[in-house]
Amino acid sequence: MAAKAVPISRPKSARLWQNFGFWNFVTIGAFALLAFFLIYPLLAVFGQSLTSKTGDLMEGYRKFFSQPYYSNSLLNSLLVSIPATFASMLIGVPLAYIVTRYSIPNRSLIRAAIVLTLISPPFIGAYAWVVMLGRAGLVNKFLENFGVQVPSIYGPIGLGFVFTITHYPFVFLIVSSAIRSIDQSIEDAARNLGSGEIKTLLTVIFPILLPSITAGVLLSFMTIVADFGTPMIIGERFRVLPTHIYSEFVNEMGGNATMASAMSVILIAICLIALALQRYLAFKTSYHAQTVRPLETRKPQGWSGALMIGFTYLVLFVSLLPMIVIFFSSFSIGRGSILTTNFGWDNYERVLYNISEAIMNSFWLATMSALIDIVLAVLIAYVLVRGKTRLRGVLDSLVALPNAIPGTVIAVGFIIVFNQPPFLLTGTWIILVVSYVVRRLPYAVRACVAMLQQIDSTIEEASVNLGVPPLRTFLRVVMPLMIPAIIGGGIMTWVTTISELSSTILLYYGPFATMTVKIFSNVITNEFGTASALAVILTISTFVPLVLMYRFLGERAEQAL
Amino acid sequence: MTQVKIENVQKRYGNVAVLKGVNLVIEPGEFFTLLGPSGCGKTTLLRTIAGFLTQDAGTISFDGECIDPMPAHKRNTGMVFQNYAIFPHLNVFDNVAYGLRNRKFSRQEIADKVANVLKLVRLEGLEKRMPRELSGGQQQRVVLARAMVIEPRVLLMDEPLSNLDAKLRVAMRGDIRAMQRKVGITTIYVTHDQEEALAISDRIAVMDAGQVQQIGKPAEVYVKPANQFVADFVGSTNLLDAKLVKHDATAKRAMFDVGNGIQWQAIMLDAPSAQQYSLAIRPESLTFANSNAHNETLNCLAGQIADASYGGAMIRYQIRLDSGRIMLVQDHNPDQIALKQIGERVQLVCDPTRVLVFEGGARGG
Repeated sequence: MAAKAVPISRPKSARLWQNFGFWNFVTIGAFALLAFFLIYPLLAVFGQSLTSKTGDLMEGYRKFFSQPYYSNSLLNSLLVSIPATFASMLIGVPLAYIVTRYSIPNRSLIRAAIVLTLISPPFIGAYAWVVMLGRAGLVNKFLENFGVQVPSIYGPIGLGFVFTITHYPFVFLIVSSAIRSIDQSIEDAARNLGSGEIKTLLTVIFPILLPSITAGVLLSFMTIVADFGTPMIIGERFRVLPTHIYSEFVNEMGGNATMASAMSVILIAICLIALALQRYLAFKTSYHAQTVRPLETRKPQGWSGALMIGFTYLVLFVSLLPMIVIFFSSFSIGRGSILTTNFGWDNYERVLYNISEAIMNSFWLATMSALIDIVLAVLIAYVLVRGKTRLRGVLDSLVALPNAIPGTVIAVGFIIVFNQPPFLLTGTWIILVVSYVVRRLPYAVRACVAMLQQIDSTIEEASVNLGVPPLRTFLRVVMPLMIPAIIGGGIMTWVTTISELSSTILLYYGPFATMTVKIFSNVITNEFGTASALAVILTISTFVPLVLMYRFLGERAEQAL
Repeated sequence: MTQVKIENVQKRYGNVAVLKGVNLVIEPGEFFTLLGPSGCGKTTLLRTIAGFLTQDAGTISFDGECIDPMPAHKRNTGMVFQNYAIFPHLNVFDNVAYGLRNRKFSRQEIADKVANVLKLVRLEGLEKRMPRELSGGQQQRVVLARAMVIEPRVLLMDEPLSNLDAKLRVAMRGDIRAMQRKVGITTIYVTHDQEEALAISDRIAVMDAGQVQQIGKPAEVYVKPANQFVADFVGSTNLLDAKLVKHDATAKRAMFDVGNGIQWQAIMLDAPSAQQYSLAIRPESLTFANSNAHNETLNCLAGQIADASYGGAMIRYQIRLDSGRIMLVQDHNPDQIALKQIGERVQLVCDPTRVLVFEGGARGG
């Protein structure tokens, strides 16, 4: 204590390296990237929403709230999204509990099927329901023979129904992974202290699951309110914010860029509130408990057992029905929206002959975006988990931000910002790749962060101690251990990119049309045969990598979702 | 063999001083242990030597060469981590060869060196096993081999045995010590287990609150603890508040009053500088007085057996003195036929040469 303290001095080169190492470059690069390709376009949207001929900054917003033509879209969005979110919770939570805790026949198949419904683009599901329940729908036609009138799928009710059936998997997955992390001892303790089965469920299990339920619900709300394809296909005159933004933006005649931007800002605000709430709750109410022995699996018995099995299979049937319908309709030879029982390869021949380019485009655009994303994600995740910079928290929130930005809005921002030199990107494929990379970055980063948190940092210290410099240690020790996350995150990015519609539809340019764009335009022009054939090809292209991922990673695959 | 010199090393985390100026000289080939309770700074010091942490002040040198500017990967120390830190994606051979591959050795040299070190840690034949196929003890040997094969200047061990079960721990520490003697490498070993420290070390530095309390050979630390903390932390000890009655400078003895007029005598070399002292008595230094002739008043305490725990070759008693204080007694050669019963009245006596004297009142009551 008494001796004088000698401050440590290091050679200049070492200090420079320490103060400005590789990881600082990564941090700065990540900030620059997100600032330029995320914040800047969003600010541009905000700026555009404040423009007006009269100089009144608030004119757009005033107009929005005073004219029902605009404000109804907001009301419609909320009127459909909130009940649909609630309904997806009512399906997702019980289903998660049943499938996780009870030995329902074919459990793992059921899980896989639910994951597949999550992955398949919602607008394809919407389109399938049109095939079944639309104006010339199979079911409608069939029932008309008996003089039964079926209500139309078009409009708010049908929209809510399709939203529910395509989004309950979000709740299901998050809640079932939370159920699996509950230790049996917790239930045993409750039972030992004298509470019955139902009471234990309500007073112990359910409260533990509550944070995950809220997270799942908010996540599915965000995706429902931002969904563009589904309301475009079955909303018809029932307009919601994303479809209204789109039509206002592309409509060269009566379109109004200020109004499109103002609506974008309002849509972002809704999503941001949901995201902020989710992150706050996740931070506040996460129970970090070590799971030694997961909850025991029970046999479904008696009436309640039959009910559970019935419920599960009903949900599954309704979820898978669209895929079955699309599969059959893709082989049906007919004209326009009329489907016949004449089966053949005609639709596929037409697709491969006329629009094989779209398939190629989808593949290489998704591949390139996924590769870029996973490289960025590995680096950013390392900064987030191991970094010492104080900006970590900011970066963490910034990386999660694209989750809350609807594709339509990002696209609007990109068009505003990258429409003129020196950053003229519209009309190139680059703008598609950039938008994919930014939008899917959260998936890839989350997968890598989860993996890195499981890798003990002393493993890296051991390597450094054995004489391997930090950066080479990262390549030789950390990267190999991250392979599951790299594969899982990469595949998830690829799969969700190839099925992206909402920003592609605004950003693509003739020669770079993707499968989703072609499916969509064929649906709109009632070319159901071609649309179905392409949808089957798209669905298979997303299923195959997922199946491979499950084979390779097993249960860990779901971490990437 | 390398000499490690630590001069006035200080480290703070925010407002908390973790190392308050540590000075140590570790001799070449020595097995040196940093012993202390959790939070005493021992691991911080070890990680500073390895280069994972940078001290705020002070210097560390190997053989007179200051290593402070050197980054961790250039220090050539071999570290063994508490949680093994085995590379889970590499088999035993590749784990051990990892550090060699970064140095310029031929394939054959690497193969030879790995084979030799695996023989040393008795893992021959397991080269192709993956870490998950190994037991905890085997994993520990792999990381030991991995650290030693690069022929580091210093071997650093951070509680390497704390994840093993009790029997294996004792066996492994013997192995580690034997290997260290064979290779003759300077070793700094961190532990909170005083028994382990006493058994394995050439010298021990007992640390508390970021400061070195005592440096010495195991027997010195145990027999002549420098202060109450060391007396209490290394082994267990009974502490008695005592007032100095008189000091005989020629006989180097002092007489104390431990309460109720009971007088205790102890060796005291220096002239007294205070009135209030505490006496420390090891549990094995106390013996039961012959109850037929209990006329002793010197170095004698009366009480009754409050608890007894039988340990075969040895028995531990807790004795509640008439003053209410609990004394621990270890009887290493108990009369197996007539073990003391709970509630039995006893008298404890102690040889004056085995009473330790510290200035100030007894800590912690």
